[in-house]
Amino acid sequence: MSPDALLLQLHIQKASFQECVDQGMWGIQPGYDQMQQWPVVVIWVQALPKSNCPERYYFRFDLQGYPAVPPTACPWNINTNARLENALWPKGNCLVSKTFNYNWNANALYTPCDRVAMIGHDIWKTQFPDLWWQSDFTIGIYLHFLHGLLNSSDYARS
Amino acid sequence: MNKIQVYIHGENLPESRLIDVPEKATTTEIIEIYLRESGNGAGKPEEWLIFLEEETEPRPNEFVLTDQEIKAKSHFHFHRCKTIATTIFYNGEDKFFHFAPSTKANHILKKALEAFGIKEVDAGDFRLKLDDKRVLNPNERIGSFAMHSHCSVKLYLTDKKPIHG
Repeated sequence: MSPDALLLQLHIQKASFQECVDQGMWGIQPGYDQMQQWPVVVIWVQALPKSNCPERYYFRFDLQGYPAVPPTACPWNINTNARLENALWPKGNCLVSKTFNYNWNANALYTPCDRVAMIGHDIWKTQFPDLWWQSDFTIGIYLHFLHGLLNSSDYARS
Repeated sequence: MNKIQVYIHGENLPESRLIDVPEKATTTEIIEIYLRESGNGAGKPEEWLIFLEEETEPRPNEFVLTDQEIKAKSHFHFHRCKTIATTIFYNGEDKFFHFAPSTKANHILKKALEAFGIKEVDAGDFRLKLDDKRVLNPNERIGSFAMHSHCSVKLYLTDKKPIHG
């Protein structure tokens, strides 16, 4: 197993990650939990109940070089094993749609912890210091951010 | 004796851990295991308090825990402070609380919103930060960020800002 895959495995075994799994906040999709398809790992994140929306959203993470290299993630359709169709991306009037913005990029999320979005957004380093990816971060940072969005009133009300 | 894995949270232990403890143990035995496993050797075992999940009062020393209280994936919090004096700042005002060290950030957030007159339905749009700009995750316990020397924490209630730019 490559060093980056080993590090992810170490991080997901930590109590801080496992506690959130125990509480149903997120989980590694079966078939990816032993890093079988590295550097791709599909992780689901729980969302607030909402009419015509799923209880979980799946994200295809590319974790090449983790954690020194920031992750990148894309909403994923677990049934078709393809990128989630635009119409099914999470929506919100303010917070949610800023991050889940397929018009900006159909294959990444607009967030300071995504390596695709970080390019050209150095100002986020000072605006969002808790999210601007650092090499000592763990995947939990990205997942807590997604969970926070999918459990916000912005998501619930849209 | 069989062992089970439980979560530990504690003073000066910002990140929780999973450790092995005997299936049947007293509070004192678990404290001793905690001090050994966490490397948190400060003070004597008898100075440390143990809190069970969602309990605001510590359990007495030498207390035998029941099967329901000590099972796989139970949470225990260890601290030398019985309560944490917590000041929360928001919009130029501050509110003062006392929380058990085992109190989770999501519970503190609810209390803060209530105190500042913000609707609970909007809770998901707010978060708590420590004074070093670190955001508290919902499951983190307040005691993990308070030292015995002062038994207090300052928090900042902030609203989540949309990512733009």
